[in-house]
Amino acid sequence: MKLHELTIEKANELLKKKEITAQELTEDILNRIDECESKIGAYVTIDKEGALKSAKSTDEKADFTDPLAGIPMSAKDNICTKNLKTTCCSRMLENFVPPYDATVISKLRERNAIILGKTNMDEFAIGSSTQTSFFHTTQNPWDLSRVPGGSSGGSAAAVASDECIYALGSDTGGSVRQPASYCGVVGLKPTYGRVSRFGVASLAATMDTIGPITKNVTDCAIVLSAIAGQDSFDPTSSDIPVDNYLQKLKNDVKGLKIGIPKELLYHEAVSKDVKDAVLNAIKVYEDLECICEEISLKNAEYAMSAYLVTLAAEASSELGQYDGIRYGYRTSSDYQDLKDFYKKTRGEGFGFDVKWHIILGTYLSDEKYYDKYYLKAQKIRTIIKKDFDEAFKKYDFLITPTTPTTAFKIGESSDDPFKMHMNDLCVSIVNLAGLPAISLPCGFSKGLPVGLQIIGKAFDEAGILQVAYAFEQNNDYHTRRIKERMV
Amino acid sequence: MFIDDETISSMADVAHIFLSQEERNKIAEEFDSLQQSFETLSKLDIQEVEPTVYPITDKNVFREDTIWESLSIDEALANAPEKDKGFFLVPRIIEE
Repeated sequence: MKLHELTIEKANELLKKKEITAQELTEDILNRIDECESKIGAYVTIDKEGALKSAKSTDEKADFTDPLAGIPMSAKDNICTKNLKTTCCSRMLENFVPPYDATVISKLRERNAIILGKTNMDEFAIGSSTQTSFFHTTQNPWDLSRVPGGSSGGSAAAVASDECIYALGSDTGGSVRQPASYCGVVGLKPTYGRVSRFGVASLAATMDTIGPITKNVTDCAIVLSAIAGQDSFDPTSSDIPVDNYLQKLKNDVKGLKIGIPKELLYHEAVSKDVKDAVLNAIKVYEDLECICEEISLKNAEYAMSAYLVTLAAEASSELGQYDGIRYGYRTSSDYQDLKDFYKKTRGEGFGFDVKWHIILGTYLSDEKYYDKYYLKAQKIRTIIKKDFDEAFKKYDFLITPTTPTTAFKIGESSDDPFKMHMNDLCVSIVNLAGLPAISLPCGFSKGLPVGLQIIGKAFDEAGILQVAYAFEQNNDYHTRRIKERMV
Repeated sequence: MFIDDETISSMADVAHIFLSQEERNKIAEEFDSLQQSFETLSKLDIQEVEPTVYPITDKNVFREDTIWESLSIDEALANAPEKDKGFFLVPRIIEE
């Protein structure tokens, strides 16, 4: 196996035995990046010097007790990395260099993680294809004519092409799980509040989460263990103790009750191949002696609309901070007054999709329409939460497809906004309720990966990892990327 | 037309964003494409339901009012588009 194809677990084993060094591992992956990037474009910033310096320092410390020590990773470009450009893939922050690390990055640096660089994303995380990035579109390693998904498309593509051992993404309405599904890798959205959001550019403050994208479920458990936990810098982070995810990973799943929401699996948007792959996955769980039954999430049909309203309204507020005063893009055009200055700065600094969402959010938050749309969307959140609470009284986990289809062609959906939003059919409902969910590969359709989503109760990341691990042991879907991808 | 050009211009003014006519036309089309979504919301009668804003945590978090180390002035100004003698330089807001 080539060094860049290693998992965290396997790389750590070799580092501990001194069969490889962190520098060798990092150099191999940097060479892999050189080989791939002209075709995939997963990265927007590569810090070769910084990565090799960290690797050298980690080798000198010679302590690989921590499984993440010396392991090269990448971070989505909305996660602040001190002294390394963090742009949110927008002209607005094109040259922004953070003076501090996000908490998730600090935690990984304490464990001697090697940061290779920053990955491509939809501008300000608004999108599900990585096509709205100010810099370039990322290509899916399985089929270079297709999108990697979004908005964490760069992170997912980098893991799928072995251009890093693992990556971090952010998930507000599916942006870790959906690209993980399209790229045939594992992506986890934690419970809202499980992982600190400090230092991560905010999109929708009541739905944003940060999660790992990895090559397998064990690696996902390792990364989550490192980044989870309360943070005094994030008042929405939870004080519930962090579980031992690795210890619980191999627990038997026999007797667990799994619900299958029919409104999602049998929705008309879900393709036959995706449905068949998920139904086959359900058979695997039945063979493992889980009890699998169809259930109803009776208000699921309202989730997409409620999500869109919530996203736009909150985003229009969060993006108000970008005004050309303290940081970021500032217009060089003439202006009449302060308001004209703001309008030109923001009009020039943001891309169209971001501007459109801000206008939508401003409209939905206007006092004339507030009750009709935004307040109603928050009431739909209540009834959707109740649906999940009812389901979890009887069932331990829920299973759905991650996405209704496999990865679409670059340019295919981008001019049909409602079709784009349908990509989030099965994932955004989870963000409304704040629950944890994981996506892992469960099959293929015409050579493209299909993702299975497992949803758990709040703060039961250990449970969804356990259920995902049990499925993964029964197939090789998570390793097929090495032979079957295009690069 | 779900939303007219005047309303889009008004929203752009509130949001402090300049939009070209072409962008305003495109935004009007985007609104139209979401009409189905808005109708889905409006048909649901849930007046008596309480809204949920934060899905999981819903408590105020406080800390002791003690001074702790934050960014230096240089760090805070490092990304300033324009600065002078430890200040952000901003457009004039007071008439001469």
